[in-house]
This record gives sequence, C-alpha cells and structure tokens, in this order.
Amino acid sequence: MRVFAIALAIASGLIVVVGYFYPVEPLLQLRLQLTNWAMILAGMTVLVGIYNLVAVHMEKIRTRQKDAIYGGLLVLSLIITFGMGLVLGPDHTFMRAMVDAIIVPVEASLMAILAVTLIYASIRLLRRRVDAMSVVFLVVAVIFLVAMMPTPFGPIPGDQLILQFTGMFSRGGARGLLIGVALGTLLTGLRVIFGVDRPYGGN
Amino acid sequence: MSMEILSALAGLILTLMIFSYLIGDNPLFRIAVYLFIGVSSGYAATVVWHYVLVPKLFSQLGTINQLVLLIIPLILSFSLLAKLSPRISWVGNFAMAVLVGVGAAVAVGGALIGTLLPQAQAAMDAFDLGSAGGGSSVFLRLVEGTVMFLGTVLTLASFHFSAGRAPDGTVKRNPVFESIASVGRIFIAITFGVLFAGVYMAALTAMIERLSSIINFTRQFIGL
Amino acid sequence: MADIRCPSCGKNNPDFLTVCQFCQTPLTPESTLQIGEKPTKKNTGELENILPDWLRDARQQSRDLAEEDAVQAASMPKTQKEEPPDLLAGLAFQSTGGDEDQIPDWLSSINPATQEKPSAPAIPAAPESDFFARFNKAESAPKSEPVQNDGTSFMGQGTDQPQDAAERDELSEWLTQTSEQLIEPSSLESDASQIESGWGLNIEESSTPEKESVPKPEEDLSWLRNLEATSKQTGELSTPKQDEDWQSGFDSPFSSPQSSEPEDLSWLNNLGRASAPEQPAQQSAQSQNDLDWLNNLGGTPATEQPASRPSQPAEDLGWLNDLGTVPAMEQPVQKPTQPQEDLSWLNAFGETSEPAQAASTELSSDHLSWLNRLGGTSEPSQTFDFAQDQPLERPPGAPAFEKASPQDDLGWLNELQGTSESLPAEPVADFSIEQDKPKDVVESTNAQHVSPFNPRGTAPLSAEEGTSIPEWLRNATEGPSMPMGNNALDQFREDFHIPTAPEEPFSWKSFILEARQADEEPVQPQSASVNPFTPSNDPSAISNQDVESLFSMDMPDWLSRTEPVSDESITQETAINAEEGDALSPADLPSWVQAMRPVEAIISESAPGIEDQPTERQGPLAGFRGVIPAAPIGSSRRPRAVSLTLQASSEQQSSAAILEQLLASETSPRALVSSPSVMPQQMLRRAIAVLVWVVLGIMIYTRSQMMPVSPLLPSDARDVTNVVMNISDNAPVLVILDYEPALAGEMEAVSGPLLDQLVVLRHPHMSFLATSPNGTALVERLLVNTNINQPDGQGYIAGQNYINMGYLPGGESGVLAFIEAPQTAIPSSPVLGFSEYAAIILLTDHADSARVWVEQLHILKQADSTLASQPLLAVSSAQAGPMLQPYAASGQISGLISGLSDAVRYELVNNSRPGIARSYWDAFGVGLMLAITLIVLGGLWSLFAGIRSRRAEVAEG
Repeated sequence: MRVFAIALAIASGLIVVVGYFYPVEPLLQLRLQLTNWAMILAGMTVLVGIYNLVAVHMEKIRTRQKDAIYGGLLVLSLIITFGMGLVLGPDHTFMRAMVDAIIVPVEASLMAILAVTLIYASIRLLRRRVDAMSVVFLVVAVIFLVAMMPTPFGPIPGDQLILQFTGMFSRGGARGLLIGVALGTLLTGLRVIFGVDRPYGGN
Repeated sequence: MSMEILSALAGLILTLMIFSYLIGDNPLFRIAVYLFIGVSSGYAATVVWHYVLVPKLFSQLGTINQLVLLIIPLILSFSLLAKLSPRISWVGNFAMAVLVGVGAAVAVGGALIGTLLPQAQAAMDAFDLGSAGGGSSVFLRLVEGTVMFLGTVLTLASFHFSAGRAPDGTVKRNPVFESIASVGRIFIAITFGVLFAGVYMAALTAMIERLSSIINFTRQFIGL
Repeated sequence: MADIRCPSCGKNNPDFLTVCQFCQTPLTPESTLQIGEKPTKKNTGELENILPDWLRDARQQSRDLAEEDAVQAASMPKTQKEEPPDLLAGLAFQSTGGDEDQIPDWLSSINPATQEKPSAPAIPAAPESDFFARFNKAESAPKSEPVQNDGTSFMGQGTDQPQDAAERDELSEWLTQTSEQLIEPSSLESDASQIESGWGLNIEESSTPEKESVPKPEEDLSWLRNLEATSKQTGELSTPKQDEDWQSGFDSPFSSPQSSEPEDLSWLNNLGRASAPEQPAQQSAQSQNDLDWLNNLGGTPATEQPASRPSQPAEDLGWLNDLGTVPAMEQPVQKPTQPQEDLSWLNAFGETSEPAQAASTELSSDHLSWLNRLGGTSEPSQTFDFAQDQPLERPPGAPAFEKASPQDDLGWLNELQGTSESLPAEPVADFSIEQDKPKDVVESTNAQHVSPFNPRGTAPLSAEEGTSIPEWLRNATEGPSMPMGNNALDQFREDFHIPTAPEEPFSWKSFILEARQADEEPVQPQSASVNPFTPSNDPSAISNQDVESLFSMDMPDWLSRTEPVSDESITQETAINAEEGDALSPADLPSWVQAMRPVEAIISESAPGIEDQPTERQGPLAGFRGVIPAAPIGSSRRPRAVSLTLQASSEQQSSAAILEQLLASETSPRALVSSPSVMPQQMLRRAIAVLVWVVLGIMIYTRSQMMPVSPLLPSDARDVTNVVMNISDNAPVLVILDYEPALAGEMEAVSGPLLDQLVVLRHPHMSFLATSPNGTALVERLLVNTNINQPDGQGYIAGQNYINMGYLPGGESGVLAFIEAPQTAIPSSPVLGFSEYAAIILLTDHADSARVWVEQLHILKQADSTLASQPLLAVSSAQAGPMLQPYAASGQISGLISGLSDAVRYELVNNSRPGIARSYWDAFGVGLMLAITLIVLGGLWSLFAGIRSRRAEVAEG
C-alpha cells in the first residue's frame, strides 16, 4: 500500500509537471482534474484539521489539564460558530458580525502589539549581538524608516535618493532570495515527485 | 443596540484583552486568543463546507457522469477522515499523496518558469542599455543593474556552503567564496533591514487601525 | 587416558596402577571406579585424605566460597566471567602466579571434548598445529584418535555443526538423550546418575550453543580427518569393530588425512564453552600449559581466564586426582555461583546443569574410563555401524541404551580396550559412549526415521537404561541440562528424519538453520548467557557444586590405559603438579593429545561470519559453508561487534563534517550577555507600549492631518494608474484577497484608493476571491470600509456589480486550477475563461502567497498569448512589498502599491478617496518617528551597555 501511495504521488506530480512543458489537451484535462481533486482534498484537510483541534482540546477537557477551561471555550466557540455557519451560511450578517467582532479585532491586535515588540527587539539587538550583520540590518532599517517617515515639514530631504539607493540593494538581495527560494522549491518539489521525500506518509 | 455596535464593542473589548499581553501574559489574553481560535476555526469550517465541499463535491453528484468524475475525489476525501484514527491513518495516505504530488508539481513548475527564468532574465535585462534612453539615465540604469546583479549573485553565493578541508584539518570555505559570501550577506542584511522596516510599518498600521477603531467607537459611543 | 595422580608425589599414574609408579604410594584404589564397575556417588569427604594438603585446603576454600554464593549462583548463573573456576577457586587462593604455568596448555586449551584425548601419550609440548600433526603421525595416537574422534565428532556435531552423517549417527543418539536434559541449564543436582551423565548433557548443551554462536566447521572436521587419517595409517581403528565401523563412517566424508590441521580440535574448546581461541595461542607457546585445555573443557574461556591465573593449574590437578580416584563424587558443595571458572565445568560432570563443562569433565574422566572397554565392547561396533552414513537407525521408541547392560556403564569400555590394543581406549570410549545408543539403533530397522538426536522420546531412560547406560550418561538421557538443547535436538530429529539426500543424510543445512532458530527462540536468552563455548557468561556455568562434582568424577580408565603407549609421556603429561608447573613439559603430551589439542589457539578470537568461514570440501558436508565453526567457539560469548556507523566514504564524511561545521557556525548561538534581570526588560516593554499607545492615541484622537503628503508617486504606483486607465469600462476584474484579517486594516487602507479609482473610473464587474477561509468575510468589510458597496459611496451591489466567489482552497493547486478553468475551480465564477478578466488585482500581505499567483499567471501568459496583455496589479502590505519589487522590476507585476506610504500618495492622486490612508498618515508618521527614536537611542544604549558589560566580564576574567 505504501508503494501505491508513492506511485500515486509520483504519477500525479509527473502529470502536472509534464503539463507545463507539453500542454497537450488530454494532459491539460488530466492536470485540471488532478488540481480540482487537490482543491477538494485541501478543503477536506481543513475539516480534518479542525476536527483534530477539537479532539485535542476535548482530551484536555476530559483529562482536566491545566488549560482545560480555555480549551472548553475554544470548543464551545468553534461549535457555535460552525453550527451557526452551517445553518446561516458564511455570508450571513451574524457570521460577518462574528468576523468583525472577534476574528479581525483579535488578529489585528495581535499584529498591532508587534509594533511594540519590534521596537523592543530592535533596542535589545545590539546588546545581544554586535556584528556587521546586526549593525547593517539595524542601520538600514532605521534609514529606510526615516526615508518613509512623514514629517510636518514634508518628506525629509533626500528621501527619494535614500529610497532609490536602498531599493537597489534591497531589490538585488530580494531577487537573490527569490531565486534561492525558487531553487529550494524546485529541489524539494522534485524530491517529492521522484519519491525521495514522502511527506504524505509513504516513508 | 444594533449588531454593528455589539460587534464594535466586542472588538473593543477583545482588542484591549489582547493588548494586555504587553503588560504580561494573563487570562484575559488567553481567553481572547482561544475564543479567536475557536471562532476562526468554526468560520473556516463553514466556509469550506459552503464554498468548497458543497459546490464542488456534493452538489455535482446529480448526474452519472459527474458522479464518475467525482467518485475518486469523493473516496479520497473520505479517506482523509481515516487520518483521525492512528490505527487506520494509512488509508489517508493516498489522498495525501495526490495532494502533495500535485502541489509539489505545481510548485516546481511555478518556481522554474515563474521565478527562476523570469528573474534571471530580468537580471540580464538590467544591462540592456538600449531601452534606457540616453544620457544620465543610461549611467543610472547601468549602476542600478550592476548593483542588482551583484546583489542577486552575491546573495545566492552566500548560500553556497561548499567548503574544503584546510591543511590543518579545519573546514573552511574557499577564501574567494568566503569573501563573496560575506558581501552577499551584506546584501541580505540590507534586504532584511528593508523587510524589517516594512514589517514594522505594517504592524504600526495595524496598531493605528486598532487604536482608531477603539477611539472612534469610544467617541461614537460616548458621543464625544 | 585417565591418570591417577599420586597424592604424594603429584605425578600421574595410569589408572590401572594401584601404586604410584614413581613413589610407590598407594593410589587409593577404593576410590577409583574400576572398569565395569558402576560408578557410585561418593562424598568428596572421602577423597579428602587422598588429596594433597594444598589441594585439600583449596577445596575447602572453594567449598566455603561456594556455599556462600550457592544461592546467588543458582539464580544468577553467569554473573562472573572473570572469576576463576569454582573448582579452582580455592586453588587460586593458594596458587601463585606461577601456577598458571603449571596447567598444561593443552589442558587449558582443550575443550571438554578434548578431555577424551589426553589419553594419548604425552608429546613434548608443541604448537597446536604440530600437536595435530602428531596426531596423525603418532602410532599410538591413532588408537586414541578414533576414540577421540568419536568423542570429538559427536561433540563437534552436537556442539557446532554436523560434520558427517556418520558422525551424527553416532552421536545422534546420545545427543538425543542428552537433548532432553539440555533444558536444565545448570542443575545443581548431586545425583550420582546425573553426575555420570552430566558430560553428555554438557556436550549437548555446548553443542547447541555452538551452532548458534560460533560455528567452526573446518575445525571439527579437521580433527576428524586426522582421526581418519591416523586410523587409516595405523589400521588400528579397524581392529575394534566400533572403531572400524565408526571409522568407516568417517572414511567417506573425510578421506583425506587432513587431520594434521590444527583446527581439528578447535571444537573441543567449544565443547567446554571455553573460548579456546585466545588460550590455544598461549598454550601452544607454553608447553607447560599443555593441560590448560582441561580448563577450557570446563567451559572456561581462554580470554576470560588466561593461563596466568594461578588457581587453574592447581585446580586442574586437583580434579585430575579426583578423576583418578573418585569414581563418582557426590556433590556436596553446590555452588553454582562461579560458572565461569575454569574447572567449574567439571562440576557439571556429576550434574546435568552445565552442559559443556560437565561434558568436558566427564569426558575427561568417565569417557576415558569407558574407552577402555572399547576394545571388547560390542557397542562400539554398533556405533560404528550406526556412524556409517546411516542417520540413526535406532527406532525412535527404542531407548538408546536399551541393550547396554547395566555393566556397560563403564565396563564395556574395558572391553573395547581389550579388543583393540593399539587403540587407546579413551577416544573409543567417548565414541562408544555416544554409541551406546547407536547400538540399539543399528539393531533397529527404522533407524532412518529415528533421529540420532532424538533425546528421550525414543529412549526413555528406564531401569534398563540405568543398567545399560553408564550412570554418568543417564543424566544426559534423562533431562537436558541445556534448555536450548531440546529445541535444537528436536530440529535435529526432523532433519534426521529426512534423509532424502544421500549426500546429506542429515540435511545439515536445515539442521543448522533450524537448530539455530530453535535455539534462538526459546533458548536464546539462555544461549546468550549459557553459551557453552563462552565459559564466562554461562548462566549454567559451573558452580561450586560443580566443582565438587568434579572431584566426584571417576578417574577415566583410558587415562591409565594410555600408559602403554608411552608411560613416560603420559606421566609427564598428566603429572600436572599444581605446585610445580615444570612438571609438565611439552614432550609430555601424548601424540594423540597433541592431535586433539585445540587448534583454536591459531584461530582468531573473533568468530567469523558464515561468509568468512571456509566451505567444506570433503565429506557429507562438502559444499557447505559455515556448517562447522571455523573460529574459536569460546569466543562466541563475546558477540561480534556490529558497526552501527554509517558506511560512508571519507569524502562523504568530510563533506558531512564541513556541512555540519558550517551549519554549526551559522546556528550556534552567540554568547549572550548576561541580562541584569527580567523586570527591567518588562518595564522597558511596558514603557514602550504605553508610549506608543499614548502618542498614537493622541494623534488619532486629534485627527491630526498636519503632515503633508507628497504627490509624487513611485514608479510602480504610477504603473498602476496607467493600468487602471487602460481597463475598459464594465470589464470583469478579478480581485484576489490574499491577506489575513490581521492586516485587514492596512490592506483596506492601501487598496482603498485603487479600488475606488477603479470603480469610479471604470465601473468594473469585480469578482472577489479569497485564498484564506477567513478572507471571504473580509470582502464585505473591504467594500464597506472603502465605501464601494455603500449607498453613499459607489453603490456597488453584491451579485450585480461584484461577486464574492468565496474561498479558493488548495494553495498553488487551487491557483492553477482556477487559472486554467475558473468555473471548474469555482463554480460561482462569472467567467468561463481566465482571459475574460480585464485585470487581476492581487491584494496580498505575504510575499510567498503572492509569488504563487505571480508565477502561475506568468506561466499562463506564456502559454496563452491572449493573456500577455492581461495586467496584474499588486497591492501589498508594507511587509510584502520589498519581496515583490523584483517581480515588478521584471514586469511580471504590472503595478505595485506597497504600504501606507504609497497608498496615501495614491489616495491623494485619487482625490483623497476613500481617505483611510490619510487618516492614518499622521499617526503613521509620529509612530515612525517614535520608533526611530526609540530604536536609535535604545540601540546605542544597548550597544554601550553591552560593550561595558563585556569589558566588565573581561576584566573579571
């Protein structure tokens, strides 16, 4: 069975990859079917993951672990939301209100406190690590912020020059990073396609 | 009290609960986080059910042809439920194999055709002075292209970890590669500095948005 | 070749002598077991007066020690490897370091089975190879050789691996009997019968473990070859029927006189569980240690108990005295505590507990005595017949010793000797003993179906057996001392029952395999611990009781009968003076003893694998590899080290080391400056938080707009405007919400101007698609906050002017599916083909997710020329903008608006609609100033503080 799973992964991967280079209609249709199946399966994995989340917290509640009460809150809110969502649908006003009242504020707040945390981390950086990388990193960040910073007197003089100068370096570095990421993705994907890596449990 | 006001009030409370984390970890923060996770997961499940499974799987089972086409994803989808049980989790490996195989293939194609080749081509096109017009723009373009090219190459070189063994037995990179990599790390540091600034600006914007919502709601609620 | 050591002068005398030939001292005939006399259990106390004072004291000490450790020894058989043998334990105390030399090498090196051989006339100590060479050459040796061969053969078979079908036949029966007793790993029984039969048990026990652990095929066969060769040369073997038959059985397999090979007797080490390998080498070098092999007989590993131990020589001599005098000692002291001691195995003679050791001891004593009868006993002949290629013809039900008269216990050995003058009784005796069963087997017609190793099922030791079989054999038949042995023997039976292939009547291959498996299954735990060839670890290792049993052993007659061959040599050989190692000279060794001398000395300690072992070239085992152990079995105790290291080449290893070093350098944490405390950090963080809140709150509360906005758009933002201008009116536009609610505020502020501009100028039919589940709820929020779907705003109506297509699952796969067939991927898509979209607006907060869209759209554009002009506009968060700029520079993104700074300018261009960005702009500016100030000041403070603290640390050293 393990071999079958591996063969399935390799075959599906090869079909999709070959479709990029030989866009013949049958192959494209087959690739379309595979990608559609992948979409369905991805949606199913979301449900499976959510069920697993519930199971974990239910176990916490059952065993009365430390944060069981929070787990109970999580499970309760999840069940209510999902139940209401199944009945009312995600576009219902109530569901939107849930999003506006809970999801967006909490998530945005979590992102907001990052503004404080990043300042604190920047201050502590040179105390923990003093080297060229750290200095350059922090100096560039400050310079870039200065260039982006509005003042009551308008942009600081030379802001565009700074942005262009830093932009050249940053774009060069970003391009290198993107190529590096692409190479890594290429290598990892090929390993999966060729069955070297089997993250789907075929090891 | 309308739904909007209740929603805004809840948002205000939850925002303050999250902000309380800056003082220290506390139950309020945890309550807000766990509530968020629960609601977010429930909403995600709702969205998946309504936007994915129902329209793409169950609603298309009416005809025989569609059933034949969807029988495989249907089986594979339900086989994923086996992942919930460690004893039979292997049943879900087939669906995961399809998912991972297709995803890897798409990533490979995208990385190669969508990033590697275009970005390499763009790095070379930076030296195409013909499209730069004339005068100082040519010089600026040449400088910019050179810097970006060097940044690209040196950044990639910094990830080159090949090394040899020195006569004393220590493992060292080639001095040439080491110097190149050190310059490449400077480019990376610059890039990360810019990214850090961007992250901070995004976080700052989020903070402003949260504070704005709080203040605006308070002002509206109090009538100031 | 049992000799009686004179209690006064310490020299050995033939067992038939009642008075020492050297000092005329009575040799205590009453204590000796006469030929034909049934051995009786005797108390060791009776022998005390016979023993020398030093030996008496030593024994007493050993008893004391044994008594103390008796309980532990019973429960923990093999705990002490390096301890001296039980029997010699007491001697060890008295003996000095020089006592080691007193033990002849051949005694220490020879395994239990080799005890049978010592009867050969003493030949000056020579290397083992020479020893074996002499075995062939020596005239007298052949006599003993066949007998020894018998003993050895069966030992070898039983222990290691089948040499010949004939050998197996011969040995099979007694093995079968003993197999039953194998179950008992180390019985502390003091029964005389057990004592008598103990050797058999030991043999079997030793055999099974050998099979498992250290097979040495060549060695076993080699000595057999020697035996055969000698028998052929001398023709002495032919005289006794037994010898002849037996020899004939071996003739076919071992026609070539390769007995000279030193390996021939290596199996002997295994028999005694002793790790012969190391010892033999030492022994060969030292002629004085000729008798050391006897230690090995007891299962003492040469490695564990090197010859250097003083106790061993004394012990050896001590038990030899007992052998000569005491027919069957009681086992007064039952101390299983010291299983590993060199002579502890001797205890097993009287007991069924310890296989190899007991076997060795009995072999040395009992079997030697019965060897005397070989000449006159008809049993040997039967055994020979049996040995001839016929597996075991004894009917399964027939007891192996049925026909053996009660007098046969040891008396028949005398007969054997009488018949064959030339033949030394000892080896024959061994063989005859073994062939006690074969006798019956020969008579029985169903011999083929009866496995020679069938222990008890065929031959229940009834009263007849007790009579016919020597008592010392009785134990072997009654109960297996080795638990493993039963299983192994059962497998022997099966294999033996299937004599399909004439070449392999016993199907040794399967036998070996099955025996190994069988041994491994139930017995492995014991085998590991009770490996007869690994003297030290045996759980059933010889205990003090065994030591006592050693003294209870009868002096083998054959030891005394060896005199005819060469009295001088025998006396020199056997006169192992515990006090004086000089008593033994290399020349004392009988030729046959030398021939039987364990060859293990030459063999390396490490047991070779089956692949490493040579393939049998002759005999029924021809073609088999690893059937007979080629390495010293005694070393099997030490499991062969298996390298768990990855088999990587040096280059690979160096590369791995380089990578590891690089990674370590990259990931190694830097030395952290000791933080003063946690409270200041928390205070600092709280202070920053309060400061940010206060400053931003003031700016937001005041609704300040004092900070001007530059109307100068970045180049990428200008491209966005250009794209918007080129979009046709009412064209379908795809808006992808690729951001999380966390950055909804920023994304709404950043994308608001573009969407407003697009709606105002082009009135497109917008299709919203979210790539995150929660993104679907953000569509309405976005449209509300940007006033697009508000009545007082643009008035867009859901389903009419825009559509929320929901969530696109699958990540990259979903993107590809949607790009290829929008309606297939998203059934609610208003367009059939992706090319119908006039523009694609990507609202993203993450570079990776945006990269997927950029890549797939680029591929699609290359594949479909009609899509080449389809613009892709990206509106990104500030955190994702820098990583998307290369795509904008490469043209894969038509226009880019990144962050609030771009948005506020774009909003200004768009007539300040919707105004979200502008409302944030002052607070954004103040927040940046605050952040820059804090970072700079705090960074400098941290830098100096860090430098100061480092200097302080350096100053402190």
